[in-house]
Amino acid sequence: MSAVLAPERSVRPVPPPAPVRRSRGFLRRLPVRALIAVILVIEVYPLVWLLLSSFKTRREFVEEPFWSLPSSLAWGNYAEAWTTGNIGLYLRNSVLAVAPSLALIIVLGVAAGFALEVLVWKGRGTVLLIFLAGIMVPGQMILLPLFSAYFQLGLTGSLWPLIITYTATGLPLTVFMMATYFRAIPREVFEAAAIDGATVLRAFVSIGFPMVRNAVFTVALVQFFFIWNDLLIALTFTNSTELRTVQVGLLNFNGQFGATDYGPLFAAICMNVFGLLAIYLVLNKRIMAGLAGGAVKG
Amino acid sequence: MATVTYDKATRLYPGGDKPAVDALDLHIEDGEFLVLVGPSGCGKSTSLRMLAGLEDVNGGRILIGDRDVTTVPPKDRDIAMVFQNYALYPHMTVADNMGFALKIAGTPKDEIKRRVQEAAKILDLEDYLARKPKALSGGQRQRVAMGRAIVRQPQVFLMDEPLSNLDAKLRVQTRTQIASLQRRLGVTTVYVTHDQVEAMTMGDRVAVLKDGILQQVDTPRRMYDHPNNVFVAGFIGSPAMNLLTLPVTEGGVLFGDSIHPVERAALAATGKNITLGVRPEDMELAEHGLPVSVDVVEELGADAYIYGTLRQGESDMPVIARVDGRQPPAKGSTVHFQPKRGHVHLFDDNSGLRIETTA
Repeated sequence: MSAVLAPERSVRPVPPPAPVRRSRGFLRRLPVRALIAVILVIEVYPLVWLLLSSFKTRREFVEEPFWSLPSSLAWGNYAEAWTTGNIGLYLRNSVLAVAPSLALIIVLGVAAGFALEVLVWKGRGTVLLIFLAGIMVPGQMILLPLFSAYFQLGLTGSLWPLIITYTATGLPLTVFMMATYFRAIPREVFEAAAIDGATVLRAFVSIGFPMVRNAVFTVALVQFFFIWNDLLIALTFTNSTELRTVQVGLLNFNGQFGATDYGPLFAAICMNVFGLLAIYLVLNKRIMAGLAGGAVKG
Repeated sequence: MATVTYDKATRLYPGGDKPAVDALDLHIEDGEFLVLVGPSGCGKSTSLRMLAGLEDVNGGRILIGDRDVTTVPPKDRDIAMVFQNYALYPHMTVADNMGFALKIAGTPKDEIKRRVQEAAKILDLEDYLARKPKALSGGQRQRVAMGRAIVRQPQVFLMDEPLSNLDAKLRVQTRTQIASLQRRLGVTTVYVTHDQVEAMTMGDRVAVLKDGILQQVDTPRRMYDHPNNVFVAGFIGSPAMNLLTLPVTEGGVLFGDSIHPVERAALAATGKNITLGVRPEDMELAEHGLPVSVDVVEELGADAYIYGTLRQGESDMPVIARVDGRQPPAKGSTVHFQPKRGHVHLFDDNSGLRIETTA
């Protein structure tokens, strides 16, 4: 062993003196670091600007340059956004539309992925293909026909059009991704479950779902942001102020006298953006932990 | 405990024109350890999966005991299966993996715990019951898969190449453990492998399959001494039997410059040539006989194997022979071999079937 290693040791290059290497390494890494710094500024600066602006008074918006710092923390903007701006109502509407949609997408999508990939039945390839085709339908195209359909069904004037549309547009991608995750599980695991006496439902609940749990979290997170940030669908199907979601609410954010009031508007945007950021950070940590914990060694 | 019977069981995969398993007739006794062996694609795994209920049976029947299970779903067949990749549930602990079937069956919790403990004790897994499969070594995972089968106390064990993911040393060790465990539990077992050494060492009886057709079912000894056809003769035994196409002559088979005597009646139905099989250990160095030029000599200490070539007419035939390890012939030399009397197998050159002789 040592005889084999010895020549290798002798040909190994002598390390250059430490200071030289350090400065050379610094220079080599400089472009990358500069790039990261630029990206960071592009990403973070608008957020900081948004936060600072939410504390500015109306006078400051008019008289000071837009990059100036607020002279004091005007918490009143937040209060105004909440009361006059109805942000509380819009947030509630968003939650009421997004939560059931997300639940439906996950339950139906994961079950469909399982059925399409794990169960064996005639025509499953075709069905998967139809779901895939759904990804390619542009959302804008179906909005008007949907609106007239909802109107005839008497669903307009409620959040149901949103829930149904979100679920329908979210399903294709979810089904496709879940089918891919289920494909990665060895068939034998489900065969073992069948021999162990599990019914299809039991195999799904006790074996299939827990094995793709992390994937479900990831897909749910992606879908949540899609739906929460949606403006087009919400704008089309909300026909009264009481039904506005956060995004529509922000679009139509007007002060008491009809003029755009920037302070409260920024405060409202801040509540939306930083709320989402907090959710993302918490869930992301959990997903990362889950992914690392579920890693399988060959 | 139960017998297992394949009654003309056939499996035709959708879109295929040739059955993967073709009218398999096989009866396995209660408590017997039967090994299904054959090259890859021979239908051995398919046969096992048909018994498990994981493959449809397109023709014939399969019985466990007296019960026709041909169309019974897997969960109602009272069987347990060990998969090649173990198929453990990665999100469950070892104890939960082993107790899953009992949990589904609604067995009381303390009963499950007792039986899992029992199985863990047999398999030396007691310290690992709280671990997840990913925290186990390959050998331990294999034992968990065995444990999952044992806990069920099924009528039949099915094992689909359970050792092929283990390293060579562990495989030999586990081979013995599985065989002795099966003898102790006395549960009817069907075991699939592509490794003929595993088949010979573990099985009470061995069934050789090729292209979906059963070639021979026999005890390992009988299979070795009395192969039914050329395929079985070449498949069973390591190194493989020498199968030489030799010309038939008056009074026997021409064996180099000598004649291996065969009675006239046995040769009546054959053509100009015959396939003669001799195992490497049944080849003896002699003055006359088959001239073989030595290509490689493998010295194993007590024995040496000679890998040589028999030049006959235009065709070259490889020949393997076992000789005394202390004085093997030199590489490149030409030596002569004679077969040991009574250890020669004759096969029809066309059909490949065995020709019975009295000699």
